Order: sequence, then structure tokens, then C-alpha cells
Amino acid sequence: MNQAHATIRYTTEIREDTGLYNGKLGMWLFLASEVMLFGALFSAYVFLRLSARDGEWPHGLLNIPIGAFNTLVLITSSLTVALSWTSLKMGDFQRYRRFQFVTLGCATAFLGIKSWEYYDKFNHYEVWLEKPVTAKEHPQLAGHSTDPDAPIASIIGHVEGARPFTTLASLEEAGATTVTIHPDKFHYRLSARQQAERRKAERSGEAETARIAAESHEGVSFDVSQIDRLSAFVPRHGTFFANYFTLTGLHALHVIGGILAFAFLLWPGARMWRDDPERYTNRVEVTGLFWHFIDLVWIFLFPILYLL
Amino acid sequence: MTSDSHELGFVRKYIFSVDHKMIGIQYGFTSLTFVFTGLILMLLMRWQIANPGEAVPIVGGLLESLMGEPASEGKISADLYNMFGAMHGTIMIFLGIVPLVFGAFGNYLVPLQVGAPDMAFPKLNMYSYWLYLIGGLIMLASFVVPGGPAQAGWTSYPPLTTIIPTDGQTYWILAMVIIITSSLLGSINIIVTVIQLRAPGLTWMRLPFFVWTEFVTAFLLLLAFPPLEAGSILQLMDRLTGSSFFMPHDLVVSGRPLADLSGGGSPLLWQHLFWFLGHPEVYVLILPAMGIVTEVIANNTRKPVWGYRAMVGSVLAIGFLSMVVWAHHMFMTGMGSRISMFFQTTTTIISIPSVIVMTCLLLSLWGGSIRFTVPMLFAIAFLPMFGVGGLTGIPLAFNSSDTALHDSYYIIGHFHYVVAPGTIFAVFAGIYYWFPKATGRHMNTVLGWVHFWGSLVCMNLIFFPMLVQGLAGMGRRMSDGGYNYSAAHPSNEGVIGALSSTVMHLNTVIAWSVLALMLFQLPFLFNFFYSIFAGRRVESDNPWQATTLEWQTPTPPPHGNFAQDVVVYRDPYAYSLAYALQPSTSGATWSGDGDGEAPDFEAQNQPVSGVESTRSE
Amino acid sequence: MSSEGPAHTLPTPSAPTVDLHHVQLEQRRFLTVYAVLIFGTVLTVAMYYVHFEEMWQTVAVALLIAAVKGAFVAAVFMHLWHGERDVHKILLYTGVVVAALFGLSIFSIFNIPGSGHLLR
Repeated sequence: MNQAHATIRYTTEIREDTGLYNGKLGMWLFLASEVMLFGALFSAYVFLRLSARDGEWPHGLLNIPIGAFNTLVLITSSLTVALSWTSLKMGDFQRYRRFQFVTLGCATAFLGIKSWEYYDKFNHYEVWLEKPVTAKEHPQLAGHSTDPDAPIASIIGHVEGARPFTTLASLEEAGATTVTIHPDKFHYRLSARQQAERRKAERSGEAETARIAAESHEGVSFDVSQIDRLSAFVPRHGTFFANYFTLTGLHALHVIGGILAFAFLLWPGARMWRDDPERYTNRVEVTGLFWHFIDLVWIFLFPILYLL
Repeated sequence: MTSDSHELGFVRKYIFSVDHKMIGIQYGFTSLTFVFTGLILMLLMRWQIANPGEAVPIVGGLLESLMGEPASEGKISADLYNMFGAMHGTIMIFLGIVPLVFGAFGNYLVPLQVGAPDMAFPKLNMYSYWLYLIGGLIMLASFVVPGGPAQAGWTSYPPLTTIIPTDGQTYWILAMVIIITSSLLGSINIIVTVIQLRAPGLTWMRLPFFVWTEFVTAFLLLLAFPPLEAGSILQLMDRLTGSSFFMPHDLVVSGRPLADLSGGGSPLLWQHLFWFLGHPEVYVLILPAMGIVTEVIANNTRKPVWGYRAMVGSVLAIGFLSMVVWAHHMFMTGMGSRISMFFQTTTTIISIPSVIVMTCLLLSLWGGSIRFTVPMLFAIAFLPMFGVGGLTGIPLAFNSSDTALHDSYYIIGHFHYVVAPGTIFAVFAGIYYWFPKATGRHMNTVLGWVHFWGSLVCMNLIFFPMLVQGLAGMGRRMSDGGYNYSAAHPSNEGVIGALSSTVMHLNTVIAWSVLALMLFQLPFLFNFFYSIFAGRRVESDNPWQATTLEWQTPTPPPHGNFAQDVVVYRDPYAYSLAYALQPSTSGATWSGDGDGEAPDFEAQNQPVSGVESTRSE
Repeated sequence: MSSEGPAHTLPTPSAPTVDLHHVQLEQRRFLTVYAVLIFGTVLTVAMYYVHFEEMWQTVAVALLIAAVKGAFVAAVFMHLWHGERDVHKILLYTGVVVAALFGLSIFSIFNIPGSGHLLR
């Protein structure tokens, strides 16, 4: 079966003038193309961000502590991958296995946390109104604006009876005549500073924020004719969430690919450790390169998506 | 090493093969099939253009039963014309020519020419082919989905692509993602093979020029394709999830604003992502063709190519510059004028290395004892044909003149001159040239002549009139060939500026020439298949008396390629060097399969003898 | 990629060598980088709560920290610091190409009226 492979040089040993074995060079070339793939998506993100209209780009809708925690999880998995490789270099297969179990655990945890975040977004709505309203008219919207007379064009919060991909058309089709929204405590159109002040006030238990919380619990209702458009925080919502889901979704696919590769090496592919330990170590190194790249992408994704 | 092949069963040897030669041949057959599919689409379109409003003869009924509504009464409607146009471009470029020059020739020849037993990753190579086939089949399958295939051009510009309600465009995107993955695997394989598996002594400046072109092409595919993959993913998101990556604010279609669309996207973004691949793709089409032509010319002029180092430098320069010229396809989009100026500058700069390569090839002919074999005829014809293609591109490089010419037939004539009588002629040259190595038999020369002269005349009769029509102002992408805007149309009587009937008549000339071109491919097809089984057998492993390593193998090369380890001692084109020529044969002409004459060449793996030691390397 | 190797000799495969000391040194390096990465993450989040005056300042600092973190991952975890010359060349070239894609496509929206303003 491996006749074709048997004659090919430098599958394991290093070619003198390049200092590389084939697999490592191949992986680096693949990563170069991955750089172009994510580079193009980053470019698209910045392109759309720069051409966005004033005040249209949402801020502060993503959960920063969770995102930061996920960053730590992924960094930890990167460390254990690196350490598992050094374990193999020292010939300690059991230590390698222990580190790789941690890696797989971290990777799964990352995906779990990510899917929880997705779920949270899918159940959050923005409702664009035909005509702006004010917080004076609807006290439930007090959190959406610092000035009670300022026009509020859209409301974010939970919509009663809506599912992640509900649209205005599908609500109307289902026979709904009014839409009830439980508004969030603040709107993304507030500046980052205002949002932070809101959060601080909330933590210190200020009376005003308690009032906002209590009233928003009531919910505010609109006739469907008053509503222009509604969407959960899904790609349809706008270019920010379209970018968010595309970038993190593609990244998650890479994580899944990495998990499959490591799992293969850990179980069915582990036989090679007996037959050809050096080649096996190389495979772990090469797969590790891919894993570190995934980590690298996340290091950039986190500030760009969560903090900007 | 050489006796492995008989141990494999039929399936492992011919279908799920990991041998680079078999994969190359699989690529060759598949992509040639796609090329002929594209050619048939072209014939149908050209016939309809020449006869607007008439039913297609013979196959009209078949079309109607296959495509339904868009082909009612056996006529090619405007919709069907759009589908055929989009699929002609897509099939020819992504499924035909690129796999042909990169997948087929690259796979078959690069390991042989670098003295390697196979590609660096044989299994990956097999996956690459199968992904390509799956992608191609999905693309073909889109012909029979309800509503027909993609119809927004091979460039798939949004927002048009996003608002088309039928599924054809989704198939197109999926097929593209798969094809991109396939070519990614292929390009990694070629690069690793060239860097890692070069035979000892085969230094970079001893690589055959074809290997250089494939190497640079592989880098183009590796780095330019992922942005299109990114663009395809975004377009898929737009179509499937209703996002607005490419959908601007307040888009109005047929007088109605699109409902439930966030907007905020940019059609310009797609064009950047598309043409970032699209332009390097042009060089993916042309660089391997230059490589093939160089091999054939060096062999048939019996002298080293002129300016090898300059050519290598030029190819590397093209490889880099082609990454920063893409937006000259977008002068008409209304992007900033400063950026247009930048791209106009780089575009004119990239013509310099291209001209250097062509000049070197032209000068290589000078003083050579040229053998006018069939591959050489195609290779020589490549030079002026690509020359016409390249020179007609210069007005398109400039923002101001491009504005007038861009959406006219001129641009169709321009890029077809580059690809059709350019690249495709090089492909034919390559097929005739390497056929004896792959099969152990020659192709018939007389049929080759018929094929060559017929194709050369027809190609020019098809594409030169297009340049004329374009300059006369005929717009592209018109299913009636401009009839409604011509003086021939009754309502345009006396209208100044309507297309004259002379210009319109060229449509008929083109249509007949396309038919003739197709007929002239029949000798080739017959020759090809007949010669596989019954062609004249080669008398030696090196019938063309060539220097490069692929000719120093048994014929056809067995699994593992070389009978013994290869060591390289020489430059790639050591033909007719003075020390090698015996006084009695220095003026000899070539007369067949190297029958007894002293050779006028040294193979790359021929050890250096004492006589030559005075030569400076 | 690399320079012209020895012309007429077959390269010999390098014998597998395990330098225990070297590997342990490598492990210490990994742990150090891990600490740096954690610190960088904490710093990024902290920066968000500090708040700069302008949006672009936040962006610049966040990207700077990300770049430093990324450089550490690439240099140490991915062995680029002691990496092979060919890999360096390929990545350098890729970097130039991706910068061209990024810079030129972004630049193309700048002198169109009504678009391409700085972050607001």
C-alpha cells in the first residue's frame, strides 16, 4: 500500500539545504494560504466597518468576560500542545497523552462556550420602528437613551414569542398584530463611555437603574404597522453580526478540524509511535502548528470583534 | 522501485491512483472534457448571436427538453444566453484550462523534470483530483436544477447574484469552494515537490523553465485563491442567511425596495475579493503555457533558450506584480480615482517582464536549426497570437481608454487571444510533444498539420472580428449580438451611430468559424485516441532528443519514474554546445528518432567529461 | 528557495538526536510565553474598561497588544524564531501579499465622496 510513499525522500528526515521535512513545509504553505483566507476576511471586515454609516455599528453587544475567558482557554490548549510535543521529544508517550487530553478538553470547552454565546445572541432582538419614539413616551426605554426627549429609532431586547430566525413577515404570517419587547438596559448606540457608566451604576445598585430594570420587565408593545423590521442577533441583523458569525464560525470549524486531527493522532494514528516514533513526533509538531495558528487567529479576532 | 505497478489492481492503478502520472492523465482527460463542453456552449451562443430570434437547428428540441422554459421553442432566450455565458466562462477557466495546464501538465511533468519518484504527498494529490471532479460535477449538475445554472457571469457580481431566486448560483458557489480546496492541495504539493524533491545537483538555476513557471503558478494559486474562497463564503452567507456583505443600503430592485435586508454591505468588496484571484488567474493560465512553449522551442531549435536567467527573473517578477494589478478590472466601478491611478501604473509595469519573456523566446529562434514538428508549429504560433493578446491589452490598462473599451467586444477579443490561441495552442504543443513519452507512440503528423492550420485560421477568424466589433462600439453580453442596436433593425433606420450591417455581418463570420474550429478539432481527437493504440511506436526513450530529465526515463515512465537515482550535472538546455558537436555532424539536420547520428545535446544527468572542464558554468 | 546546495552529493538524513537539556529549555520558554499571553489578555480587557478618548486610540492599543501576543505565539510556539529560512521567505512574501490586499482594497474607498471616514 505504501509503495508510492516508500520511495519519496524527506518524509521524516530533514533535507540538508532546506532544513525541512516535507510535511512541515506543506503545513507552512497551507498556513500561508490560511493567512490569506483570514486576511481577506479581516480586510472585508475593516472595509465594511469603514464604510458603515454613523452610529450604525453596534458596540458592546458581545460578552467581554466570556470572550476573555475563552481566549485563556484557547491559549492554555496551545501551551499543552507545545508541551505534549516536547514530551514526545523526550520519549514520554504517557505525558504526551495527558497533555493532549487537556488540549482536547480545552478545545471542547471553547466550542461549548462559543455555542452558549451563539445561543444568547440568537435570542436577542433588535426592532426597528417606522417612526422614532422617545423614552418619555415609553418609560420602559429609559435605558436606551440618556435624554428622555431624544428619538429612539430601534429597540433591543427580547421579543415575546419570537424564535431565532423570526422576521416581521413570519410574525405577520403567524397572525400577530402586536409585538411585545422587553428592552435591554442600554442600547448599543450609547457611547462606550455611557455604556460603561450604566454598567457601573448597575453594579453599585443605584435607584435609577433599578427603576429601569423593573420597567423594562413590563415590556413595551407596538402594533406591527409601527415596525419597520425586526431581527435577532443573527447574520441578517446587520454587517457587524454577519462578520461576527462568519469569522467566529469559520474559526470554530478550524477548531473542530484541529480536534479531529488530534483525536486521530491520539487514538487510531498512535500506532505509528511504535513503528516510526520520529515521524509520529513530526506529525504532532505539524498538527501543533495548525493549532497554534488557530490560537493566533483568535488572538486577533477577540479584540477586533469584542472590543471595537 | 520499478516493478510495483503490476501489483496494483485496476481500481488502484487507474481510478484511485496515487501515481502522479496517472493523476495527471486523469486531470487531462477530465479537463479536456470540460474544455469541449465549454466549446459546445460557445457554439450555441455564437449561432444564436448570428441568427437572433431563430430556433437552434438540430439540437433546439433537445435544449428545450433539457433546460425547459428558458429554451422555449428551441430558441436561446436572453436568460439562457446569460446562463451559457456564465457557465462558458466558469467551465473554461476554472474547470478547463487551469486544471489542464496546472493539474495535468504540472502533475505529469514536474516530478519527472525535477528527478523525483512522485509528488511529495501522493495521497493528497489523489484527493486534489477527486475534489476537482466533485466540484466540476456539482457545477455541471447546476444545469439541471430548476431555474438553471448560475447566470450572472463567471465573475458573479452581487447584488445581482444575491437576488437571483434560483439555486444555480448556490451550486456555483459550492462548486467553487470545492475547486478552490482542490487547487490549494495541488499547489502545496507542487511547491513542496520542487523545493524538497529536486534531484541532487538540480540547483535552482538548472531547473527547466517549465518547472519555474509551475512553481510560480503554484504560489499564485496558493495565495490568490483564498480571498475568493473568503468571498464565496460571504456570498454564500448572503444567499443562505440573508446577511448583507455585498448588499448596499436602500437597494431597489424592479422599482421595489428589497424587504428585510439590513444593507450596509458593498458590491465593491466582492469585486476586490474576486479580482484579487481573477487577475493572478490570468497568469495561472498563461505562465505554464509559456513554460510549455519554452520547452518545445528549446528542443526544436536545438539551442539553449536565449536569456534563461532573464526569463526566470521575469517570471518571478510577474508572480509578484500580478498580485497588485487586480483592480484594473474595476476601473468602471466608481472606486476612487487615486487608486485607479495606482493600478494603472502597476498594470503597465507588469507588461515589461511579460515582454521580456516573449522577447527571449523570439530571440531563441534566431540562428536555430528549427525543426518544424507539429508541437513546434503550435509553439511558434503561440508567440504572435499571445503577442496580439498582450498588445491589445495595453489600451485596457489605462483608465481613460478602458472606460470606452471595457464593456465592448474588444475586451472579449483581447482576453480570448491570450487564452484561446495563446494558452490552448501551448496546450496542444505540449500534448503533441509529450505524447510519445506518456504512451510510447507518436501522433500522426499529417493530421497534426490539418489540426494546426485549421485551428490557427479559425481562431483568428473568430477573435479578430471581435476586436473590430468592439472598436465599432458593440457591447458585450448581448444575447441578440447587438441586433436591436444595429442599422439592420427596422426601428433604427437612419439612426446615426447604430451598428452598421458590416459590423453585424461579422457575427455570421464568427459563427461559421466557430463551427469550422470545432470540425478542425476532430482530426485531433481522432489522432489522439487512434495514436494511443495504433500510433507509430517510438524507437527510443528520447525521440525528440531532449535534455530534460523526463526523457531520461523508461517509456512510459513506470511507477517510481527513474530506473536509478538521478544526479544532475548540467543546465536544462544543453543543445548544440560547441564542444559536443563532432566536426562531421555540426551541420547535420535532424532526421527522425536519433537514428545513429552523434547527439547534438547533453542530457541534464549526463556526467561532465574532461573535455568540457574548460567551459565556464 | 534556498541557495544552491552541494551539487553532486546526495544529502544524508540527519540522525535523530534528543538533547534533553535543549527540550527542557524549550519547555521553560513555552511556559514563559504562556505567562506573557495571559498578561496580554488581561491587559486587553483592562484597557477596555480604562477608556481612551478616541475610538482609534482603543483600536490602536488593542491591535498592538494583539500583535505582540501573536508575535510570541508565532516565534516560540510555532518555532519561527529558530525557523528555517525557506519558511521565513514564504511567510514574508505572504505578509507582503496580504498587506497589499488589505491596504489597496481599503484605500479604494477613500476618495469616494461620503465613504471611507475614519472610525467614529
